[in-house]
Amino acid sequence: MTSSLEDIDPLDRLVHEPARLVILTALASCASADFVFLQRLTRLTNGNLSAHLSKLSDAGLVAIQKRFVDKKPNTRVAITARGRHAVEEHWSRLEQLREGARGLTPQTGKPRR
Amino acid sequence: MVPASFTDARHAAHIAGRFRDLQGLRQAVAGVGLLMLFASELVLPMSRPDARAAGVGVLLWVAGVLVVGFAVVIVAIRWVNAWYRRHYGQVDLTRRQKLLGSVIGGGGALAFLVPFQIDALAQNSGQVPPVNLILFTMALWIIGYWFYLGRPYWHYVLIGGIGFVLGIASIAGIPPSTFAWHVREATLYVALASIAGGVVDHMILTRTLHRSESSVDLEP
Repeated sequence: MTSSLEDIDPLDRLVHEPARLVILTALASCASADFVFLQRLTRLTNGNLSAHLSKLSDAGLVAIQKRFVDKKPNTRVAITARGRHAVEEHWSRLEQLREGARGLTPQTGKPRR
Repeated sequence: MVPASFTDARHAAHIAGRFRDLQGLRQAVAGVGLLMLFASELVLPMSRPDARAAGVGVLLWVAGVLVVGFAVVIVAIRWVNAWYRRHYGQVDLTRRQKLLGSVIGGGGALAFLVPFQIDALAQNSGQVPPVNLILFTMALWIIGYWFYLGRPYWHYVLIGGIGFVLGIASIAGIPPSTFAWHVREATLYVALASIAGGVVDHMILTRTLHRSESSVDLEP
């Protein structure tokens, strides 16, 4: 059983970044979502969201499909099996961290100067 | 303590999974349609002798109003769908989520129709149950819907609770214990519950998602 924080694997920085964690966690709870929804959810600008999605897509964590709906561009984003595994793994690590932190007791004694 | 971004991520997952359910304006429009149905029930003959006495002309007129009202509600719901899509985007649900949604919706229909049928059969045999069963089954369904939607949506507990109180009042004969009043009261309850629940859901959704004023330039 993991008893100390040192035993826990280093967090995956690609997944841990707050905006990308929100995107992946949201996508893990549905089949797919479009760009507009993700933008409303994350409140990122077009450019920032595109950059985050590109990074996730390059890593194979999400699949992006561009198409036209009513003659307007529509970008669909779906989490891949690898992405789902990565985000689930990440949440499990975070839970481990929380559990580990609960076991820590504050030091009694005078603080060092 | 969990950092804000982590709770944000959990909340985001919840919003994505319940995105369609939280599009409350659709539910509110359906509630307005039910209010129209309630208004028509006040003038509609609710028993065979009353229907015979009213005559074919009145029945056709009421049926025409209902058909037009139904069509207006359908068009309004389609417009609301398009509005949500334009301003808040789209989420596709998994097959399991769609199935669960169908089961919940079907359960709601049964919660209304089964006691309605019991009441109608009782009326045809010259008796009326001394209690408005529809209020109890609908209130129970609304509590079930609260479990499905999520614990933070407390307004459904309040709405369900009001249904139980009205159901208990019906045992005391408020309103009069007749088939017509049972149906009218249940229709009014479901209509107001849909409007109230829908408006609160919509407010929760719009507070969470930043709305675009324009559908232009949404895509990079």
